Order: sequence, then C-alpha cells, then structure tokens
Amino acid sequence: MEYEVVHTLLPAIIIFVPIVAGLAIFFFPNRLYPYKEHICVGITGFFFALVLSMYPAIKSGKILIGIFEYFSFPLSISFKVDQLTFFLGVFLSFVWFMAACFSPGYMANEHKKERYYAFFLMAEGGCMGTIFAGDLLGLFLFFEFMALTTYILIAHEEEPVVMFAAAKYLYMTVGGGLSVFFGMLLIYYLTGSVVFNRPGLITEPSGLATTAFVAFMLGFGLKAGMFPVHVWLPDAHPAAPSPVSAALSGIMLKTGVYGMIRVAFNIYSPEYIKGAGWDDYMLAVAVITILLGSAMALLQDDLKRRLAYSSISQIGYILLGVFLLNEQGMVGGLYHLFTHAFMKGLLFLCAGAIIVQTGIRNISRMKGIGLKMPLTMICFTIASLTMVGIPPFNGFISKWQLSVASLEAGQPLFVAILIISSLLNAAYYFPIVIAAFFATEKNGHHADALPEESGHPTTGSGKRWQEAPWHMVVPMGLLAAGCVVFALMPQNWPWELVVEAARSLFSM
Amino acid sequence: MPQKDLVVSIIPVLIVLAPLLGAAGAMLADRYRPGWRNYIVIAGSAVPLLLIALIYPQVVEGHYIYQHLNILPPMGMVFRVDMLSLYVSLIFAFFGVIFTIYSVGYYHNREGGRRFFYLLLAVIAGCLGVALSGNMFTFFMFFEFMSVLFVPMVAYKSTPEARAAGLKFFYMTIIAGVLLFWGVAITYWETGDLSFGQGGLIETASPLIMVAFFCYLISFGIKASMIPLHFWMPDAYAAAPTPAAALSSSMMLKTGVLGLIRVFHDIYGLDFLQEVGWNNVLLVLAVTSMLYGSLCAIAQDDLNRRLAYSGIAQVGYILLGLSLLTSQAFVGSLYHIMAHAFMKGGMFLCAGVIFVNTGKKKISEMRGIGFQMPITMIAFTIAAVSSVGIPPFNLFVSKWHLGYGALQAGMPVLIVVLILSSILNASYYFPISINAFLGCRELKNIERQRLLVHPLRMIPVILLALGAAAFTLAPSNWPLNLARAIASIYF
Repeated sequence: MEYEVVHTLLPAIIIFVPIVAGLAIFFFPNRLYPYKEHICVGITGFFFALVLSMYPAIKSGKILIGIFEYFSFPLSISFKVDQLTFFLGVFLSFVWFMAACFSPGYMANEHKKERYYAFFLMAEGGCMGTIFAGDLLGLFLFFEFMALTTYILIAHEEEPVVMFAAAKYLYMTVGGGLSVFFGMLLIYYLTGSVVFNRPGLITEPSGLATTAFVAFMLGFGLKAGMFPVHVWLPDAHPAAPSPVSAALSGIMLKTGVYGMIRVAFNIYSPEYIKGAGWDDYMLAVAVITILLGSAMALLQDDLKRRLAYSSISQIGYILLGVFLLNEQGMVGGLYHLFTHAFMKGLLFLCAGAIIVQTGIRNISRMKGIGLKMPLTMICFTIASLTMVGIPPFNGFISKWQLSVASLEAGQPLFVAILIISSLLNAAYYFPIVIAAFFATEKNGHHADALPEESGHPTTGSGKRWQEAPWHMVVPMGLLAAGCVVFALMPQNWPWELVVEAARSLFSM
Repeated sequence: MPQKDLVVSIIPVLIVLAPLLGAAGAMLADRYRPGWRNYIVIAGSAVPLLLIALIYPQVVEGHYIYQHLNILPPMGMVFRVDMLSLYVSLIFAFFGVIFTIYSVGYYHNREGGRRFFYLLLAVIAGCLGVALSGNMFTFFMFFEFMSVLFVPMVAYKSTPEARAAGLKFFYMTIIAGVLLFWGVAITYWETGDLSFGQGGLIETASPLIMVAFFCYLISFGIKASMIPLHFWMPDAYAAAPTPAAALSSSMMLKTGVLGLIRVFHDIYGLDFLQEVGWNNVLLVLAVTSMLYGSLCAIAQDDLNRRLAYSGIAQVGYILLGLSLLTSQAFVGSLYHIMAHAFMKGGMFLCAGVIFVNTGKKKISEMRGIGFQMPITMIAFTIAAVSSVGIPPFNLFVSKWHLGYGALQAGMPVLIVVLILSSILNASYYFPISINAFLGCRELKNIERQRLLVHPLRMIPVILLALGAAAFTLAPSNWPLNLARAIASIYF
C-alpha cells in the first residue's frame, strides 16, 4: 500500500508547544505561579487535541512530514507522523493529559510546584519529540532531552533515598544515551544517513553493524527497562511523585520500545535481523524480562515498587511481540503497549491517591482500604483485571494476539510463558484487591501498625470515607474506562490503529 | 599547495599591537585618569575583534593576508593569515574581550587588580600573535612572550602556593622554550625554511628530524598540558586568579594545540607523518590524557582543580582528533577548540563568580549554591550538560566528528574511549549542579537568599552559556563551516 506524503510543519511545531510553555513557567515563576496548574493541564490537553486533529489525514493514508531545517547539526532534523507514530502519539499524549490532571491534587502539599510543572511539560515535549522524530538524530536529541528533564522530576522530593535513586537513573540514562550516540555514529559511517526508511539502511552484514545493533539495544533497552539494564527502574519509579511514576512507567518506557522498533524496522530490516539470528537473542531477553519482572514483583511490599517490577515484566510482553518479527506479533506488541500505558498509568495514579489520602505505601497495611476509598480501589481492580488478561479487558486482547502470533511463528513455548506470567500477575495483584475489599483489621489496628505520619488522616478502623477528591478520581476513571470501553464497542478503535501501524511497518 | 593571492596588509600587525597599546594606555590612565582605565582596557581587547572582522571576508575568499616586518634580523617577523589563523584568532579575540570584561567585573570593588590588566592584555596580544604568525620562528617568539608573561599572572595572588605554582610554571615554560628553540633550529638547518602554508617542508626522515619532532611534541605538549607533562596545570589554576585560569584554559592551551597543528600540517606534512607513523605517539598520549584527566578530576574537591584536570581530558580530545590524521577528526578537533573554550571558559567564570561572591572554593561547601546564584549555576549546568556531549550543545558536534574520524581511521575502539570519557565527565560535573539545586530542603532561609552579582561578572557568563548552543541551533553552523573549510585545505 502506498502512502501519500504531505509536507507540513505541524508535527514539528506541536512538539515545541509544551516545551515553550514549560520554559515560560520556569523562567517567569512570579508572574505565572498562580496559573501553573491551569497551564500544565491546559497545554497537555491542547497537545492531545492537536495530535487528534491529525487523525483525518492519517486515516486517509497520508504521512505528515516536516523537515526542520532550522537546526544545523551535522545533519538536519525531520519530523514525521505516520500510522505508527500517530497511534503512539494519540494514546501516550492522552496518558500525559491524565497524569497532568491528576497532578494538582497530588502535589497540593509539595514544594517547588513551579519547577515540577515546568519540567513536567518539558518532559512531555521531549517524549513526544522522540516519537515524532523522523530520523535517528532527532529521536536521539529528544530522547536525551526527555531523559534529563525527567531526572528533575524523579528527584523532586529531594529526600536522600530519592536523590540516590535519581542519581542512579541519571548516570545510567547518560550511559544509555551515549550508547545510542555510538550506534548512530556507526550507522552514519556505514550508510551516510540516519533517516528512517523502509527497507532498512543496513543491508550488508559487518562487525560494525552488529556492534551498532548491540549499542542500540542497550541504549533503548535501558530506557525501556529491559533485562539486564533494568536496574535503575525499580528504584526510580517508586521514588518519583506518583503522576511522574505514571508517566515514567506508562509512557516513557515506551519510547525505549519505540526506539527499538525503529531500529529493527527502519535502520535494519526484519529480514536482516532474522538472517543474522538476532531475533532469537532478543526473544530470549524478552522472556527473561517477563519472568524476572513478575517474580521480583511478587516479593515487594512497597506498592509502587511492585508496580515498577510489574512494568518490567509487561515491557517483556511488548518486546516479545515486536521481536517475533511478524505482523501478528507486532499487532499484539503494539496493542499491549497501549494497554499497558493506560493500565500502568492508572495503577500508579491509584497508588498516588492512596499515598496522598492515607500515607500508606506498603501493601501489608492496605487491608480494608477499599471501603475507605472505593472508587480508587475499583479503578485499581479494573487495572488488575486488565493486567491478568481477563476478557473483555484490553489485556485479554493483547495476550490473545500475542499467543496467536507465537503459534504462528511456531513457538508454542511462548504461550506457556504468557500463561505462567499471567498467573504470576494474578498472584501479585489479586491479593491487594481482595485485602482491600474483604479483609478487616482486628480491633481497628493492624497488628504491626506503624505510627502515622503527621499530616495524614489516621487509618483506623471503620468505613470512614477517605476517597480522593473528584479532580483526582476523574483522570483515574477515564483511564479505567479506557481499559475496557474500546473492547466493548462495535469497532475497536485502537485495534484499527494498531493494525494500520503494523501494516505500515511491514509494507515496503 | 598553490600560493593564492597574497594581500599585503598591516592589519595583522595592528591586531597584535592593539592590546599592547591598550596595556600601555591602561598604565598611563592608572597614573593620570583612573576613571578611564576600564574603558581603555576593554577597548584594547575589542579592537582586535573589529580588525579581524575587517579582514574576514578576504580570508574566507581564499586570500592570504601577509606582512613581513623587517625587525629582528635575519629572520624578521612574518604574519600570515590563512583560514586556520583566522579561525583561531577569532576565537582568541572573542574570548579576550569576554575575559577582559569579566576581569573588570572581577576586580570591581576589590583590591589589587591594577597590574593584572596589563598582564592580561599583553598575554592576549601574545596569543593573537601566535595565531597570526606566518612562520615557526615568529610563532616561537610570540609563544615565549605569552608564556613568560603568564608567570606573574599565576603568581599574582602572592601567596606561598601561588609563588610555588608560578615558579613551577616558569620552569616548565623554560623547558618548553628551550626544546622549541632546538626544534626550530633543527628544522631550519635541515630545510632552510620555516614558513607555513607549503604543506610540509620535510621530505625524508632522519634521526635529527625525529629529535625535532619530539622537541616540538614535548614543548607544545607542556603548553597543552598533555599527559605526562600536565603537572604544572592544576597547581597553576588553583592558585591563579580565576580570569587567568579561564584565559589559560580557553586560549593558552589552544596555542599549544595550534603549535602541534602547525607542526603536523605545515612543518612535517600529512604524507610524511603517515609514512613514518610518529603521530601514533600523540594518539596514545591523547587517549591517556582523556582517561587519566577525567579520573583525576573525580577525586578533586577544589573546583578550580577539578576544572583543570577536566581540561587535561578535553585537550586529549583535541589532540586525538589531530593525531588520527583524518579530515573528519580534524574538523572535530578544530570544532572542539571552540566548544571547549566556551564550555570551560564558562565554567571557570562561574567558579570565579562563586569565589568572589561567597568565598567558596571547595565543591563540598557548595550545597544549595543554586539558590543564591541561580543564573550562574544554570550557566554552569548548561556547560556541564554540554561537556557530556548531549545535543544540541557544541560538544555533541565535536564528539560526532571525532567519532566519525576514528571510524575513518579504522579504530572504532576509540569511540568506546570517547564514551567512557563522556560518562566520566558526567560523573564529575553533574554532582556539582545537582548539589547546587537539589537535595537541600533542610537549608535555612538565610542560605537561600539570592545574592546580587555585579553585571560585568554576569554578562560574560551568560554569553558563554548561550554560546554553548547558539551555533548548533542557528540556521548554519558557522564555526563548523569554517572548520570544514580549513580541513579541506589540509586534506
């Protein structure tokens, strides 16, 4: 299928909307301080609307390309919105929007709010720039920008533990960025170009091409939380404020996956990777990532840490789908990417609501919390059901599709892995849900209850209503709806986008 | 190399004379009209920039500006402005203005800045003379002039450490001067010519020629603070006033590099070096410098010392690009001269601002300093991010070209060294920025109050911070185009 190319600067311009807004908040703190929440929510919403406005063009089979000649790096930078990037852009910017809506409630008692909102917007700009970049250089530029601005967000609370986690993130991500730089340099040396095209740039096998592939996989895999470069993730995700954790886990991990997809399909080509046998290594890594993430998640008592390990395992699913290197697998991987963005974003927002309302971070102390915060815990339950893959939730569709693709690729073993992992998912999510709704604490206090932090309402017995305010519940509710609504509709809109995106990747 | 149109002009001489006249004017002003001093000093440093702008169009069109002054017989002083001279002298003149303005701010309302300005302008004149000289002999003259005048700048504070550092630098300067003299003498005896721009004077290898090569290497290596000849530098930078350290890092180190470029491309020539392979000595030393300098920098707590060791590593990048003998690496090397001047100059100026306003020199004392001086520390952070090679900042471009040049030379392992060195850069610069802004919630309010910084101290800092990304974000990368034009002449 031929795609019509439309030259427009729209993809380039919209990237700079959140970045400029963030810089404005940062550099004019006095004037803009009263409006920072409104700006943040408004700009992220506006961004989502801008991305959505490209839908008619994408729907009619067009590709929007904007070549931005105003940068004079060794190469020029281009922006491109095609079926794949539109799909990612529209859903990830929606999750950004929801995380932004959730922020004012979560950040009410935090310090340095103007810095938080400024860097939140800049990180969104970097993230979306990574996705809309039309060549490796632009992708790298925004990837680094996102990585550095996210550092400030992770370190926001500035406690010693947080600073340590953030520093670990910073140095690992700098290393990952340099790894991508190295790969990009090798690609440019070998082919004289870093523009994404299809079929890929690299056609001749060589030692340098192999080195570059390894460098890319390490660099992007680090951001995605792939084994064995996932070690920063379980520290950094819990350390960040919850809306940022939602953005990190729900959105930014996906930029790493997206980088891998681009490398696999537009720098190399699926045929080349299959010929070199690299897909086997990547599938093995994906399986290890799935099992390791799930197993580690079981051991955690800190809710956000459990969610972080769970993210690692879910990224394994996506990588499994991508590196099956067939169209069915890509559909499954991309659909799971969308599923996971909504579901994990939602879970982190729920964790944030619980922390703000009760000060509880540990799962062992969450008994009966569903009676105090029923709406939050219903959202949590929906996300858990999605995660385990129970129909009709999104997770079911993606796991079904991944299984089909595995069988099509002649790898029934992966179906077994998926089932084991789903069981593990159930084993670490359902106890939380069950304890939240059905367990009651004896004598009003948990056996080893710790003294409460000051400033938080006590978590004594009874069914005292501690539900989060409406402006925190609404974003959670919308994400929860996103986990199931599309599957119930006569036409599954994300599914259609995913199928188009996978087709565009595999079409020559 | 074909001799294109020679334009005989007095302008190169005036470029060198202007700062010297400025210094003389400042002396007179200090005696008779103290209020005029600062204006004369700034004018003395700004005139060279204007004069270079005057000859810029001619040189870019491919003319050479030439002037033979018949003083100091039998050789005479030869000025010859080619693209390389233009590029380097442009950098020197620009930073001369920046550092002069900054020095005026640095010594504003402080004791003892008087003689510093005379020395500053004289050293700037020496650097410009080095950049514009047309043969090795003239180069040698200006090189010595500049080096000797820098000794009192190092010892300027007159503390015991400053005197010791000044003495150390003085002996190193003498060694460098003697060896350079020897190298020049051997070259003249073997070839009967010292002029630049003929694409290599030396035809055949001989033991004497080899001795001359290593004389040049050691002499310029001392000035460029290459491992293992670097040991004067951390002491000198820690002891000298900050503008002097900035001047040395941004300009004087580069005269050593320029000397090596001249030796490689104008005295020995590309073909000769590729044949004998002596450049590999420099390659090994450059790689050692990159790693060793960075490792040492991590261990330093004195900010100036950390910057000094980092400078050793950064000069390693430049020398690496030179020693690879590929065009892309040479472009990267030239671009890095500019990029490093902006980055390290900016960092030294920030260190100076911090020292003048708070008296702090140790990094461990600088917790939360970003609250007191937000603009300074944002500028420092920009320079730090730039030094790691993150786009869109300058060092990304130079690292890109250096890496590409390493691939051209068939040595991809050098890119691993580049990356390792970049990670080390991050590990010693980022903690400074992080501690300045983050992790200090327990600070008292009094420690969070903003300090007023004199605008003459601030303007250079802001300009250098903007320069970290100004060229890469511009429609066309001006220094990169110049560097490419120079590389196309030599390769």
